[in-house]
Amino acid sequence: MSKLLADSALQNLILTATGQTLYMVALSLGIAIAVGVPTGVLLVISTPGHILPRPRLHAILGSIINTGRSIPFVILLFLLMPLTKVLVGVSIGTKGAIFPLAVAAIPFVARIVETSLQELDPGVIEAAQSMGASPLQIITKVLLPEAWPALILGFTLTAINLVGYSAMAGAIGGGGLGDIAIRYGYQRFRNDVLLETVVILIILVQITQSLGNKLALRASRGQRRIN
Amino acid sequence: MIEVKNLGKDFITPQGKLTALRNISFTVTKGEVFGIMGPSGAGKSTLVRCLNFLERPTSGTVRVAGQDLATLNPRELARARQQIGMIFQHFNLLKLKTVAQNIAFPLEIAQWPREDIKKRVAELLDIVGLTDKARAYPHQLSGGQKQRVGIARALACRPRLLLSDEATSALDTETTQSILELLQHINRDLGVTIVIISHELAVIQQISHRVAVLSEGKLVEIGPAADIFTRPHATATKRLITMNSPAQGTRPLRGGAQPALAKRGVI
Ligand SMILES: Nc1ncnc2c1ncn2[C@@H]1O[C@H](COP(=O)(O)OP(=O)(O)O)[C@@H](O)[C@H]1O
Ligand SMILES: [Mg+2]
Repeated sequence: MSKLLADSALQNLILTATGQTLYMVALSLGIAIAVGVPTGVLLVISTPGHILPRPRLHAILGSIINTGRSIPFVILLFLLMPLTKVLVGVSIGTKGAIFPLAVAAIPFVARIVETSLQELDPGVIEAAQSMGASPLQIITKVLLPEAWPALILGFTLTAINLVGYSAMAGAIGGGGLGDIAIRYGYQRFRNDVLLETVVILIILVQITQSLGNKLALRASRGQRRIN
Repeated sequence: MIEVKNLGKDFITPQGKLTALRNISFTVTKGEVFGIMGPSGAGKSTLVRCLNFLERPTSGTVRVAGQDLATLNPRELARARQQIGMIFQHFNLLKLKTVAQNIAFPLEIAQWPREDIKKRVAELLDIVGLTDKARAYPHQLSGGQKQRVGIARALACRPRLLLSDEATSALDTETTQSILELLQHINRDLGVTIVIISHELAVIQQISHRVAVLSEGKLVEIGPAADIFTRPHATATKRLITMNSPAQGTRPLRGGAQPALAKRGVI
């Protein structure tokens, strides 16, 4: 009886943790997209030969993004702790994890935007220019809409990476499924809990991926090649 | 309509300076079809792109409808470009937009009211004979149909000038013929001045009133189409014409395709 109760209490914990994971991923993904997309667009259009060539800015943005991407997430977590504390008020817990997660995902999103926009046919951009489209019109009416299916797939990939990162953030008290897996599954030798959290993580990733695939396919308007 | 004076264009490449156009002068009169021919790499695309400042000339002036394009600020240049339609070899349509949305695109750029856009798109679909394809996506169209969308899009803002960069070069003979008929109709009945460039002499010969010949970035000959093709003066022109003579195996344009076109109601 007591074992059953303990288990149902644990189930509740796992449920809460799943909610925390979703919350961390959704919010940090939102922030990463809000910052990463404009950054990626700026990176692309500032390329020499593109619609707003600014070679210096392009080089600077590129190296900032590379720096961001080369710092391992665990190290970023600790590096950002003081800043997180200032910005969010806490440096640990679910809320504290969102800021470093977003920071880690921003350069990733920016690069995804870059590759998605680079795949577009330059002829289409030229056609828009020949119609007198301004750079802003080209961004909002050509670049982003035409790259939309590729961007959806890129955001899906980012979300999946964030699920993994959020589990890592759990290790330093970030809450979520990673936290449960380590505290109950690993430290208290509850293999059943460990297994359950892993299964939930797998299911989350699967759902995210198939949802992303479906949305991207719908956005590609029946074209066989998505790009 | 167009006045080009001492136009020059250099490209700075990693291999050094490349002079694509040197000292080119010519005028295009209102209402004519002006052909520019020359071998691949002669500078035809660069020249036509200088006519709407997709490429900024290194030297010389380009006047379109009396305006010196170099003196315009970005907003004025955008407005000038709305009065210059352009069509391309690979059509350059928006892949994720329908035919109707593609044609509406330049009107959205020019910020036409929604109701006017709808009416104008219907007119344009009718002009190019694609009313039944309004809701199709580009990948569902044939090459000729895609170019018709390109033409409708280029005409959307009622330009007085249409630039055509190898617009038929990706199409088969029969489709080329139908697109040329459409361009002729646009020139004759809508009064649009056309500058058409092509490496295919048959195309230039069939549609142009006057022809300019480009060779290695220089304008080597200019005159009425009939003269250029029957009595070429420049060596480059003669070479071009012999190299492209039917005996050398180029495709004939006239004849052959006509019955099929008549059947499809194009002519
Ligand atoms: N953006 C560019 N940068 C460098 N060289 C260019 C560029 N565009 C064209 N060129 C060069 O200019 C010359 C003329 O090219 P182009 O105008 O495309 O010729 P055509 O259309 O007659 O085939 C070629 O040697 C080409 O390599
Ligand atoms: Mg060319």
